[in-house]
Amino acid sequence: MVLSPLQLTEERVARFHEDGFLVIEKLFDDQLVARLVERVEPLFAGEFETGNYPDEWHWSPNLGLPQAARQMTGVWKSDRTMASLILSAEIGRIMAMLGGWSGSRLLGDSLWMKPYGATETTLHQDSMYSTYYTPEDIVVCWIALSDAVPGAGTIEYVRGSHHWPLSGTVSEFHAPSKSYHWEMEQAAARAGFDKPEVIQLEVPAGGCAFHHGHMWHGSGKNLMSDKIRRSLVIAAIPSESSFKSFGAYVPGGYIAGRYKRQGDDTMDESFFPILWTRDGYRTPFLDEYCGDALGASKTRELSGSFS
Amino acid sequence: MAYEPIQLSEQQISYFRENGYLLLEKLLPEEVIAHITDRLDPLFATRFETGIYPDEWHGRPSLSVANATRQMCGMWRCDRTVAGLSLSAETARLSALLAGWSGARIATDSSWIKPPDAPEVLFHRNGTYAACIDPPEMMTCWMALSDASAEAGTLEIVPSSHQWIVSDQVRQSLHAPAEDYRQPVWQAAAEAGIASPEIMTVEIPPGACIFMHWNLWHGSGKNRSSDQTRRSFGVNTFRADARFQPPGIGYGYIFNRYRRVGETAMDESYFPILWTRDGYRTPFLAEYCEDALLPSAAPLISGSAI
Repeated sequence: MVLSPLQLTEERVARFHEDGFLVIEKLFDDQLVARLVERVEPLFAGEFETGNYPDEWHWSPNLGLPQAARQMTGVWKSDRTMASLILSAEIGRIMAMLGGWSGSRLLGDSLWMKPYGATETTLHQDSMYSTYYTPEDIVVCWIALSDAVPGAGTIEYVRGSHHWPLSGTVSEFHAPSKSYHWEMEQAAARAGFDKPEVIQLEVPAGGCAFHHGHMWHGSGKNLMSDKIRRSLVIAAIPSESSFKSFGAYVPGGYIAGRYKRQGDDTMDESFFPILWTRDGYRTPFLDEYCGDALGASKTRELSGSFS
Repeated sequence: MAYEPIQLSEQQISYFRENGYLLLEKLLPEEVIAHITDRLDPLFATRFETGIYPDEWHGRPSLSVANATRQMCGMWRCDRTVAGLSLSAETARLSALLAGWSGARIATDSSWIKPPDAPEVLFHRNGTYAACIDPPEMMTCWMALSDASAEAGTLEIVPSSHQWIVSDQVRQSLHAPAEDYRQPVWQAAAEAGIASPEIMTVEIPPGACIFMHWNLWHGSGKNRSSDQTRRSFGVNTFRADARFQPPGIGYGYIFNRYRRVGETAMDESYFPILWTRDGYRTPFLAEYCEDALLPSAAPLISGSAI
């Protein structure tokens, strides 16, 4: 059964722009959650279904500390089950609507697993790492693959912080030596806020939160011995985006900058596929590559909520 | 002292083809060793000079066990000092001449840092990881940045094993294997009908290097020293005219991610051509970084004494 599209009311979109985020408690069913979760441990163990390595692979069973947070980016290239959600047209459509765009294009993805004792992830703005293309706009979808609860390293947002000026990249992303809020608090002070409001989200598995690229976010330590936090992050940009013009390399290009061709500012759809556009265009190879997990989902509750 | 271009003799080339490796006692001038070594700690501390992240990274402070081998690939995209060595026309020229190619392009670079007590690296063949490339040929120039001693877990090779006709498989991780790190080579030798394969420990000083054929079996033992950190730097090259295999053929590893959908061409933006016999070198390299071995000289065109 093809699901009915999520109707985003004007009020919801307005709240997104005001708060900088929007929570959808149920985006897909438990069956899909289970299929995705099954892929997580094999991926970190180096079992890449397509034979292609992800863009980043931090942590492996042989060399990793047992309690370290695991992170992997570019997962869609390595595993087609993961890809079927990451490249979903429906998530692309919602991101385009929240961004006010005519279409959305994948910039990148990120898979996280934080076992009990996993350390903090420094609060940051995704836009800090996304300054090399134009228009400089980004919307992110943070998907819970296990119940995300306060105290177990759930995502934290600083309400309204997307209105603050963009800061420089944080110095220690994983396991920082200072408080994981420290960089955000400096930014808050610069923006004139003494007591920024930090919210630890509660999102059931299969739910998600969309956030603005300038939103300060991160996560605390997982303090709950019976919880493993798993999440999948999708970052989208306007479908018409192109690289800014640079010389022989893309300064601060993180992962995406590796894929810029010399003398060509195009963001090639092979590496940055178009997920959804208002006029119906979607990068052709996607449907053959992995299908669309949400296009085939059987049940869904559209109980979006606001925190 | 400045680098002097190396002239390979016919005898050296023949030796390589028969044995699958060639040792050169002096490749890197001391200042190049120092410049590259100075860049490694910042790279492993996530300080990338260009702001571009590497293609592969194992062993990261705060996420990995203290004795983890630190390995990073694709560093030429992250740091232009490192790129000066990775993209040098000179190592590419030597690799091409040994392999019998008319030119060479970068496949990847790879730094291996083994602190005291660092675990073994499983024996493997580099060509297995180039299976999505046509032809699946990948030369390796493995350079010692510190004393590569047996005690510190230096490289081990099996001379002539590149000639074995054996099957091979991609392994999920080469680091810290649970089984005997030489097990894959025992298995391959048995398949090739070799009763007692010779394992040679490559003990060389800083600045020396070993060129390896893509089918040569190699690995490394544990760093059993208490105070020696073993540092090496590898440059892997494909043939200049290499392409991707048709879609779906061969293990993609870190290479296939740069394929444009439906195409077999390898774009020079991602796999620049470093040296060809006719003098061609991918143009953007001149702007990107200075050649660490040939800083002011034009690359050698004829390239050898043969």
